[in-house]
Amino acid sequence: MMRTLAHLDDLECAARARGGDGKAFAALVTRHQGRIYRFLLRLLHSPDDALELTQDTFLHAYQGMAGWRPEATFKTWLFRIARNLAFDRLRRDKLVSFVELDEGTDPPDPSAGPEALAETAERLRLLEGALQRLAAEHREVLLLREIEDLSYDEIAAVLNLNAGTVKSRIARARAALLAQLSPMTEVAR
Amino acid sequence: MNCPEYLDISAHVDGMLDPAERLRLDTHLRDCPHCRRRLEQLQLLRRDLRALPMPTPGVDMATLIGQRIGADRRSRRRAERRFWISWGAPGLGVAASLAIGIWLGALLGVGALGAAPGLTMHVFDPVPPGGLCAATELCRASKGLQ
Repeated sequence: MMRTLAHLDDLECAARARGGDGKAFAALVTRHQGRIYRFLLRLLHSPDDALELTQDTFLHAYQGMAGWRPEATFKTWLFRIARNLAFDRLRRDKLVSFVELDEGTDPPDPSAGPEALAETAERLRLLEGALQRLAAEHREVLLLREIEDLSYDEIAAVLNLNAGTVKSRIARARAALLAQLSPMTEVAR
Repeated sequence: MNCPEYLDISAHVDGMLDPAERLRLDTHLRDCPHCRRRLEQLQLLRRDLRALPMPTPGVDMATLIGQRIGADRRSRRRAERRFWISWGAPGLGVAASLAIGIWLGALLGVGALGAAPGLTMHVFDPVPPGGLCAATELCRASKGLQ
């Protein structure tokens, strides 16, 4: 049965799920569980929390199917739910560092880049660590852009921002990540 | 040399500049090693971020979520059943009692009203209740009997 739904796009599956088709909703879960899980995992740093909130994301989506409108893609809608749940959890556990995101000032100059890191595995390990140390607002925007490959408009829909703010936040997040990597680059030399 | 803003180089990596902005930046990049280096850093960062491992949940989420939805539905049904057991039967009893009360009340009320014209009192009846009538004609006349 699942195989027969694989050819349907999100819109059709979501329309069927809204009509009470459980198989169509299961197909949507199968299709999106990986990206929601890894997004939450890197936001929360906890596999258990990521697993729990991935389930909660889909449960919220199931319960809110009647309110979903096709103007928002199902994927961005899921990311929005997941992101809100993750920030609620981070706030509750006081794990989030809410930095003042001044969108108007120039980002720091990441002069010392990560290019000196020779070994790919080591570089990626350091990158993963640097990503975890970023402010949650910077981390989420980079995850959505660089790993999930969402467009500026899609990110704007997920984060409820305008596209201009998304553009500057991405630039600042990249600069912050490079700045995180710079001291390690020096050490690695 | 006036270097472009960092966010323009970042947007260039994402292909988000319009053609005129892109042409201006490309022209600048040809002559500015500092901005070229920035661009290379961002491109390398993108490549590395996309090379990060893609962890998976390792479980069949569709099954897990299906079970949670089923459990949720069952608990909601149980709660509804409990509500009807707790409140439904007594509520129905109260409603039935009220309905019967109103029906009986209406019935008696209508009966009483219907009987009202027949109830006449003979205030000036010369013979007290249970008394003997001395003159039958008089008594018949006073009671309206022929």
